[in-house]
Amino acid sequence: MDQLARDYEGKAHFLFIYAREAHPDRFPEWPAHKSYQQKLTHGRALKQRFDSPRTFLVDDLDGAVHRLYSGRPNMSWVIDHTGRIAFKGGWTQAADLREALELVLRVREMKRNGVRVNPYYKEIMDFKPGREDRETSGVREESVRVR
Amino acid sequence: MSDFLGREYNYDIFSPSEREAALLATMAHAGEEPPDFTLPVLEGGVVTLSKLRGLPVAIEFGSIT
Repeated sequence: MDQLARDYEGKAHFLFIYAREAHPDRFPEWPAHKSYQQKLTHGRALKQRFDSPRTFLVDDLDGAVHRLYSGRPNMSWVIDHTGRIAFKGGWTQAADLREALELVLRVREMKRNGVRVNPYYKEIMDFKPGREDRETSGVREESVRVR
Repeated sequence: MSDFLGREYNYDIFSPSEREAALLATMAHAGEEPPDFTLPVLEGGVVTLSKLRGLPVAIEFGSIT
């Protein structure tokens, strides 16, 4: 996702919203947050670890915004330039967001050039290999979709 | 929601399932306006989603673990 943000610098905003820890039992050094200050500190550590170009936002301790957006652990959304939802995914795959951004930007360009385009709605249930099977499945991307 | 649930995954729902699909279906859909929010930026200041119009916005929710 950080590479995607670099690729689309100046063409899109990239927000990362630091939410609750998903696996605090497996990583005791990153426990469930007990205070907002702790959440801020861990959010800074995450941004520094990846030298991320994205804008890091930290939700409140109770995850008010996270709840508004389903409360899923690694959900992603693309909002188009008019402020409407173009994509939402229950799991973040950079390739999905790249595809959605390309579509949004292409449609904006077509409209600016006077080309009439009509929206239609679609949903898809995507799949990714289980954690144990990623090495052996030959699927490098987490999604099994052929792109 | 801030409480540690004491499970392998610190979420009521983790794996894709019919229940998850039903949950996601209750959220705003493509073509609709998302819930607006204002949140603090790590380096200072705030971001309000509705003020970012003019460019697309990619949003990811996540954590370290």
